[in-house]
Parts: sequence; C-alpha cells; structure tokens
Amino acid sequence: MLRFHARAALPAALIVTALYATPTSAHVTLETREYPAAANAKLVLKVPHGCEGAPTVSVRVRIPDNVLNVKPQPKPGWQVTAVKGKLATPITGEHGETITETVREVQWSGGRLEDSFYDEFVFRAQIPDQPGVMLYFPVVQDCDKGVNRWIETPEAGKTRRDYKFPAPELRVLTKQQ
Amino acid sequence: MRLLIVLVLLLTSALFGRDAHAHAVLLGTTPDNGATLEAAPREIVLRFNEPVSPISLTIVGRGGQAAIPPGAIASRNEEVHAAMPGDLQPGSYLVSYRVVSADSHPISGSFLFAVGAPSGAAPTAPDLRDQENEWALLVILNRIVLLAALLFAAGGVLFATYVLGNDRASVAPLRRPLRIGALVAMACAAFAVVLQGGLLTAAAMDASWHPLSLLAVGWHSTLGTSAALIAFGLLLVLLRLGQRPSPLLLWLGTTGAIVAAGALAASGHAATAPPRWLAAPAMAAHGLVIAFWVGSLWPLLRLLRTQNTGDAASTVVRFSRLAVIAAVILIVTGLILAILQLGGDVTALVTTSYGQLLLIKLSIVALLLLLATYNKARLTPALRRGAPDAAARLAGAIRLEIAAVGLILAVTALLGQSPPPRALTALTAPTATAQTLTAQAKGYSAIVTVMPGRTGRNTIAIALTAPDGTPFTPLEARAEISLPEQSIEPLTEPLNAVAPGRYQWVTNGFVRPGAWQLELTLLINDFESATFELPLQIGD
Repeated sequence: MLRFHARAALPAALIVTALYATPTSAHVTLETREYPAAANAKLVLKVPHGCEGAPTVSVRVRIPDNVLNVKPQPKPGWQVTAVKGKLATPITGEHGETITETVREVQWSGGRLEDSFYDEFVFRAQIPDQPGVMLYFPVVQDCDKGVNRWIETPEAGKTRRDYKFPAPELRVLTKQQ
Repeated sequence: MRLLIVLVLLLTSALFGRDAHAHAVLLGTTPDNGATLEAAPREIVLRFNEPVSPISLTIVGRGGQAAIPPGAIASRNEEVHAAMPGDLQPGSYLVSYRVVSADSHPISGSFLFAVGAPSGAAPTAPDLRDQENEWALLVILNRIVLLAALLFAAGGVLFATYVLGNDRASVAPLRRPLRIGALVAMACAAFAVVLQGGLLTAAAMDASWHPLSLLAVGWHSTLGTSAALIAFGLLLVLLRLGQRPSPLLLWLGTTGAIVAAGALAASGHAATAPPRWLAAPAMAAHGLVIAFWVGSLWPLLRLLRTQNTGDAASTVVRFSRLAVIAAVILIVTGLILAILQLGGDVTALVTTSYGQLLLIKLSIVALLLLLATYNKARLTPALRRGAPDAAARLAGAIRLEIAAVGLILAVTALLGQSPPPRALTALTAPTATAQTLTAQAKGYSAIVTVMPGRTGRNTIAIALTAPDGTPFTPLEARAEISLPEQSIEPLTEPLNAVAPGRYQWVTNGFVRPGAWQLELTLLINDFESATFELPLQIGD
C-alpha cells in the first residue's frame, strides 16, 4: 500500500524538474567539437548571425600551432586566402619532408552574408597527435558595420559558458586505431 | 470530471509558458548614455535591432533601487518604453535592463543618466527602503497564514494516504475542513504574489498601486513559480477530497500534496543558498516532512475524539512509526539548511538578527521533539494498553504541539524576511576609500586606481604593462562596471589612451555603495584578448 502511494512522488518530481530548462546560444562555433588525435578533419565554422544586425563581409580564423596541412574550401561569392607563416623550428612531415611554413590564418573575404541568413565556412586540417588537449580557433567576423571577435579563451577554472565571445574550440580525443 | 482534468492541464501548461525571441543588441537609448537632463524624464526608451521580450528593468539611485513594474513597460516593435517614477530627485541614475532574444539568450546591461547635476555632493535619490518595510509586514502575516493552511491541507492528505491508507470511512470527517484549508492556502498563495510585487517595486502604500500590475511583477519572481506550484498541487488535493475519489484521483491528490509542500523549495532564502544542488532538495524534503507531521496533528486530535480506543491506538502507532523517520529527516535537513544559511559562521547565531531568530526557532523545535518523544515513549503505549485517561492526555499533548508549531511558523515567516548571514557581508556598505588594485591576465598586468572610491564622480586611472615590462597600449580597451550583489548589469565604456599604456576614465556610474566589479577587456591583437576582473569597494 505504501509502495503504491510512494509512486506518487515520481510525477511530482518530474513536474518540478521539468520547469528548469537550459537556454541555447548563437555563437560562431565548430560543427564537430571533438576529433581523434592525428585524424584528417573536415572543420566547419558555423556563422549563425552578423554583427548587431549588419551583414558579414569577411571571416578570418587563426590556426593554432601544430595543426598542419590546412586547406580551405573555396566558396562561391567569396575570395579565399590561406596566409602562410614561418615555423619557429622546422618539423618533419609524415612523408619525411622538412616543413618550414604552415598556414597560420585562413580568410574568406569579399562576400556578403546577411544577418538573417546562416552559412558555413569549411577547411581541412590535420589534428595534432596530442590527445586530451583543447584547441582554440579564434575567429574574427568582420561586418559592413562593426566586428565580432570570437577570441576569448577560458582562464583556469572557467568554461566557454562564462564568456560572451568565446573562441570556437575543439577537443582532441585519443587516437583511433 | 473531464472538465476538471482539462482545467488542471490548462493550469499545468500555463506554468511552462515562456516567450522567446531572436538574438538582439542594444542600438541606443533615450536619454543617451551619460546624458545630463534638466528635468526628470517621464519615460525612457531602449532601442534594439530586433523585437525583444523584456525580463526586468531596474532604476538605481543613491538610496536604493526599484524594479519598474511590467505594467509600466511597453514593448513596441524594436523599442522598449518604460514609464519613470514621478518623484526622481536630482542625481545620477543607472537603468539596469535584462531582455530576452530569440535563442533565449538574455541581453543585459546598464546605461547612465543624470537629472540636474550629476551626483557629486548633489541631494540623494528617495530612500526606497522605508516603503519596502511596510510591505514586508504584510508579506510576513500572509506567509504565516499560507504556511499554516498549506501544511494543514497538504499534510492532511499525506496523513490520509500514509497513516489511514485512504480508508474512506476514517477520512470522511476530515474532508470538509481540509478542503477549506486548501482553498484558504490557494487564496493566500495568490495574495502572496501580489504582495511580493509590492515588495519588489516598493510601490507607495496609497491608492495608487494596482493589484494586477503588482501581480504581474510578483509572478515573474521566483515566488511566482513557488505560488503557482502550490496552487497546482492544492488543486489536485481539492479534487482528491471529493465525495468518491477514484484510485487515480487518490494518487493525483497525494502527488499534489507532495508538489505543494515541495514548492517551498522553489523560492526563498533557504532554497537558494549556494550550493543549490544541496539547498533546494534539502528544503523540499524539509517542507515535505513538516507538512506530514504538522498536517497530521489536527487529524490525530479529531480521531482520538471520534474513534474507539482500539482503532485510535493503531492509528497513533502507525503515525508514530512514520513520525520517527520524519523527525530524522527533519533534523538532518534542518541542520544542512541552517549551516548553509549561516555561511559557515557560527558566531552569526548570536550576532545577527537572523541568527537570533534561528536560535529561537531551533529551541522551540527542540521542545517539540522532546514532547513528541514523550508522546511516543509514554502516552502511546498507555493508549494501547487501554489506560482510562490516555486519550485525553495524548490529545492535550497534541494541542501543545499545535501551539508550538504555530510559534515556529511565525518565527519562520520572520526569518524569510531577514537577510541570512551569508548575504550580509555583501550588503554592509564599505567605507569610502581611494583604492589601488593590480591584476594579471595572460602575462599582461594592470594597475588600477579608483578615486575617491565613494558614490558619485570617480576617476579610474589604469596603467597596463606587457609581459616584457614595457607600457602596453592594446588595439582596443573597454571597461565595464557592475554591481552583481544587487543584480545591476554592466555599464560599458570604451577607453582611450592618454599616454602609452595609460588610460583615464571619469565616470558617475557608481550611483550606489556596494561591492562593485570592474572588468577590463583589452584587444592585444586581432585574435587575442585579455580580461582583468577587479573588485572595487565603493562607500557612501
């Protein structure tokens, strides 16, 4: 008899907990936020809106150190540039060649993405062999009027939820066999 | 029958209704940020790039702050208009706003304006604290009646379910009084929302306040959620207390009683003490066992009079078995809540008014537990044995318990209106001193000086240094000041360098004393920023 009535507690608990909902946010983020180490990744930057209502005219992303073999995907209506930079110390590539320069920054410019529309900016990259590390891809979104800088990286003890303009992040998982 | 179920469903869906609009940004305000006006404005306007849903608007002055009631806020297309209180004295004011955009993303901030001369030695804004106290008395009185009726009705149903096993014959004489109790509690819950609206807006206690607009303000507070849950639970309790309730209704009624008693955890000091994952369940459990215990007292009294000794004895025995478990949960959750509220400071028990009230409450509770132990150890076995005056003595003891519970409810209602010690350290106004602080972020350091460190005009001087020790001028710099303890949203100001690595900001933004927070954000290069957080003590 007691057990039957104890079951009344369940829906009561459900009713109360159902009242707590989590809000969503509209930041520039990477579509896939986790990748196995040393994998060849297709990274997709999602741009859900412009700057305070103004259309986006350029998207620039800085590639973190140790992320190699970056190739941006061309986009109709946009001019794509891969900005190369010299490496502090040359490294050996997977085919034995010496690499002295890598792509440090990818830029899509000359286009126009209205605030009411959504678009994706794609590039290919090789995830470094560093399982457990969090990679940050800071993005500068230039608009007709104004700029959004998605460049805040969390300090110790904080997460991206504590910031208004967090940099898109990607966690490196253990290597897939 | 079906109509009632439909009504219940409608009430349920009303609890979950939330509007959401799209990601928005503030484009401008009237008056402009930082403007000085000759006369107090009749209304203010906030202009966004999209239609938004206002959550709250608060005007902050030197003596206090007042939430602008929803009745005075109108959302027209992309503009939010708010009527200002008519009696704004000369001085500086912050308007702190929170609105919601389409992705349920709250947009918040503050803007500053001054009436007459900006506050320096200017006269202060009206002290809104006196008006709050008048409402507080009404809130306390209403809360006592609400608690008593809620515990009576919800607890009575819990007693009927778990002690009487929903035996129709035993429950019958209890039905009508419990129904009256439930209706009284529902009325008090609705009234509590109106009173909370009055407390929050510190509305003038004359004929000018409108019950419906106060209801709207109170509804948006956590008390609104709590009252809605209480009303919902009691509605189910009322359905269960009908003539011939089906098994489904019996079950729904018990659920409703649990929801109503647990709703005490939806708002109030005790349930919101950090960490919430501990405080809220502890409060819910506390409310539940109290409802069971208190709600059983009057039915027991009634049954002792009406039932024959044998039946009465077995009822009392069943109750006291459950009561032991309830007492243990009561003591454990009560201790957890008390410790959380004291904020780890045991001396607060004697030094603060909250602590003293808590001591009184704990003493009466201890006496009550002693009485209950005496009942269980001596009087209940006497009743079982069939001793001649056992029923009368037990009834007398229960009446004493009811009296003690009444006192505890009064003290609890007073506790609800006193600031708990964990919040007091934040509320005491710091003394006004010029202060110098340093902070580091990502290898860069900032030295910040605030003068004079009291409400009114302040000069903030900032010196930035790069990791190599040289003065550093970032591409852009921005400062934000906010008063989190009073929920005042950040006031933002872009900074301009006066010399390499040197910035100066003269602001009237510190309109009231408190533990303000200064946040400095620097743009180091295109892709890198650093943020410094500095606590400032601004005195009166």
